[in-house]
Amino acid sequence: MVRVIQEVEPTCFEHAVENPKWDNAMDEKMAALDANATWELVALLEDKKVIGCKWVYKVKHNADGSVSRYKARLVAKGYAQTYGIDYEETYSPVAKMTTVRAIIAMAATKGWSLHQMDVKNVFLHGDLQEEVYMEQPGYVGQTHPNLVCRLKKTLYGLKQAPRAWSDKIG
Amino acid sequence: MKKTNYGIVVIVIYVDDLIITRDSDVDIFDLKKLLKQKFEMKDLGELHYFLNIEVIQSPKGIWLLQRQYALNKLSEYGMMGYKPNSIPLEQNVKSSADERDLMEDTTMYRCIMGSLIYMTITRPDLSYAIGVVSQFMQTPRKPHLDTVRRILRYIKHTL
Repeated sequence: MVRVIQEVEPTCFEHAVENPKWDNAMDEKMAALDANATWELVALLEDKKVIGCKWVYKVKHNADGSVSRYKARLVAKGYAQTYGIDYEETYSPVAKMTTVRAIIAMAATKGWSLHQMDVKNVFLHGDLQEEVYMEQPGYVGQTHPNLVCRLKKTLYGLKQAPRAWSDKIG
Repeated sequence: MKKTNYGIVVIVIYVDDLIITRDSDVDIFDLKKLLKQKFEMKDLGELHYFLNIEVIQSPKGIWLLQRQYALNKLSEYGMMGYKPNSIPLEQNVKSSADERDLMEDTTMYRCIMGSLIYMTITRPDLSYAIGVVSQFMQTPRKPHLDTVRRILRYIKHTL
């Protein structure tokens, strides 16, 4: 049976912050970003460019259709980045499907068991080499509204985010 | 893939998804522990589902299925009500040059083609039919869409 009532995901911070569920999700995310030392607050020098950011909200469902989690994700507006200034290389390798199939075939012939893991907050692991400034995300309790975020780690949306991650595990 | 003193270790990385296997079952838990120390990770246990492909492991071998993927796509493209069909492609598909047959929305055709190509991972029987219709990705026309629908009906027949 399909879900009859689908919960609407808010499209902007102003709406989300009024709902305790989403406000909570943002608190969780901010705590993760904080613990990860994703950025430091600095005063912006005149000739530097700042890119924007945006909260994205997603309801995660269980297989039976019930709500499992309210997820807030902070994305940087990578489309405002300029090549050579705040990003350089962006290529990032991923496993080819034929490779995956070949490995599975090998496991089958050898009788090995296959296991699976996933990395949490994957792009937050990437170390950022370039100088990227981002506006502070909408958040209750901003103490220094005049400062900007100098990013230390990659965020979703940054041009070099996948690349920085593959450098990290490479 | 790495050959160590302790045996062979294989880790497949797809952005944040990892497949891990090694020649000794006992040590796989040590390996997971080690990985967890490096990054914050979730252990999903044995491989069941990877990039929309279901994986069934048994002593006899490993099965890869895209049944659920196919069902999702069939309902996404509104094909659930159509009659199943046991043949993926008619003989001598005619290509049309008729202007009136041009489609207004070509995105749908290309979306379906993307899904079909993805299904060839576990379904080599679709390869030929898909090869034929993928020639019309640039300017798909209505008869081509009918041919594509026929492939989808064939998939429905085989599920």
